[in-house]
Amino acid sequence: MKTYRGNITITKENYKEWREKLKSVENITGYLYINSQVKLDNLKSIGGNLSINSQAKLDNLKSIGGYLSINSQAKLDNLKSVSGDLYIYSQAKLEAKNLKSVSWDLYINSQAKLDNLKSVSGNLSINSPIAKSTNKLIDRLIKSKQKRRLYINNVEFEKSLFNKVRRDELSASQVFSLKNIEQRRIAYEIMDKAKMKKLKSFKVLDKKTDKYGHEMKIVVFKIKGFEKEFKYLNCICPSTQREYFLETQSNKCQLAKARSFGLEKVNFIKEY
Amino acid sequence: MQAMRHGDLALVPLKKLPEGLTEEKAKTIMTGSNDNPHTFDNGKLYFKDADEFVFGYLAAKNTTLCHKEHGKKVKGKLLRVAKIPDGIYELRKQCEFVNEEIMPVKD
Repeated sequence: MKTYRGNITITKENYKEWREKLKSVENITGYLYINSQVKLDNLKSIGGNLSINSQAKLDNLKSIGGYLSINSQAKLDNLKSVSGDLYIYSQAKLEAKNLKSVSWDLYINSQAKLDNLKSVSGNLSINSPIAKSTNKLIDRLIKSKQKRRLYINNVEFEKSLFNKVRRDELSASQVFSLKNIEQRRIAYEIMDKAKMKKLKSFKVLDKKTDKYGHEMKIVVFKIKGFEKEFKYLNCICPSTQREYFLETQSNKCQLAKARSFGLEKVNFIKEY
Repeated sequence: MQAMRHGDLALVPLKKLPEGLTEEKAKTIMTGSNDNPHTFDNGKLYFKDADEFVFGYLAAKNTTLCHKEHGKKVKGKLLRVAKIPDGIYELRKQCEFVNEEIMPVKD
C-alpha cells in the first residue's frame, strides 16, 4: 500500500500538484483538507481528520481515523467508519451508503443519506428545520439504551422531549408550557405555526416596534385545565434575532419588558 | 431610568456602590442554563442579592462584557464583546412570571 506521511491541504492553487502526487496513494497518515475540487481514486484511508469544503470524489475511501467534516456535497460510497466526530454543516450534503459507525458525536445541520449507519457512540445533535430523513436516522440511532446527550440547535433536551420536539408532536399549549425558554424557543421554531390558530382564545393584546425594528407583542391564550390565561411577551433579541416568549403579567409590551428585570419604567439605551 | 441590556442581564447605572461589598475574583457575572456565561474584562465585580432581580454590582473602568451570543463579533474570537461606559452598575437578571411566581429566565 502506497502511503503519504503527513498532512495535506488541497487548494485551488495546488490541486494539480497534489493530484499528481497522490495519484497512486492509498493511505494518508495525517489530515486531509479539501478546499478545491479533487478526485483521488485510489485513496482508501486517512489517519487523521478529513474536511471536505469543495466537491470531492473519493470513491474508494473506507476509513477515517479522525473526524469527518462536510461543508460541501460529498459522495463517499465506500466509507465504512469514522473514528472521530461526524459534522455535516448546513448547505452540505453527504451520501455515504456504507457508513456503519461513527465513534464519537454526530452533528447533522443539513442533508444526510446514511442508510446503513447503525452506531454512533457519542452525542446526537441536529438542527431545525429537521428533514424527514434525519428523523428516520435518529429513530434508528436512538433505539440503543446507551446514555448520550441530545441536542437540537445546540439546546439540550431529555430523550422523550427531544423526540416530541423533533417530530413536532407537541401541541401549541404544550410548547408554551415548557419551563426552559431555550427549549420553548426551539420547540416553537419547529412547531407548525398553524397550531397557534387552534388555540381558540389566542389574541394579541398589545403590539409595539422596538428601536431595532422588531415587533414586540403581548399575546394571551387559555389552555384547558388552567384557570388563568397564559400571557407572554413575544420579542426578538437584537443580537441573535431569535424569537422569545417570556411569561408575563403585564398587558403592555414596554411594561412587560421592564418588569422582566424588576423595573417599572426603563429606557434601554443600548441592547446587546 | 436608563439602563443597558446584555441578553438576560441588565445593567442599571448607580451613583455609588452600596456599602459592605467584597470584590469577587471571578470574571463570570452570570451563567444561563444553556451554559453561556456573561463574563467581563477590566472592572470590579461584587455579588450581593438584594431581591429576586438584583444579584450584584459592577464597577466598570474600561470594561468589556463578553458572551457567546450578545455583542459585536470580533474576527478570530469566539466571544462577542460589548464595551460599556465607565461607572457603577446594578446587575439585574431577567425573570419571568411562571404560575404567578417570579422565575429566572432560563436561556
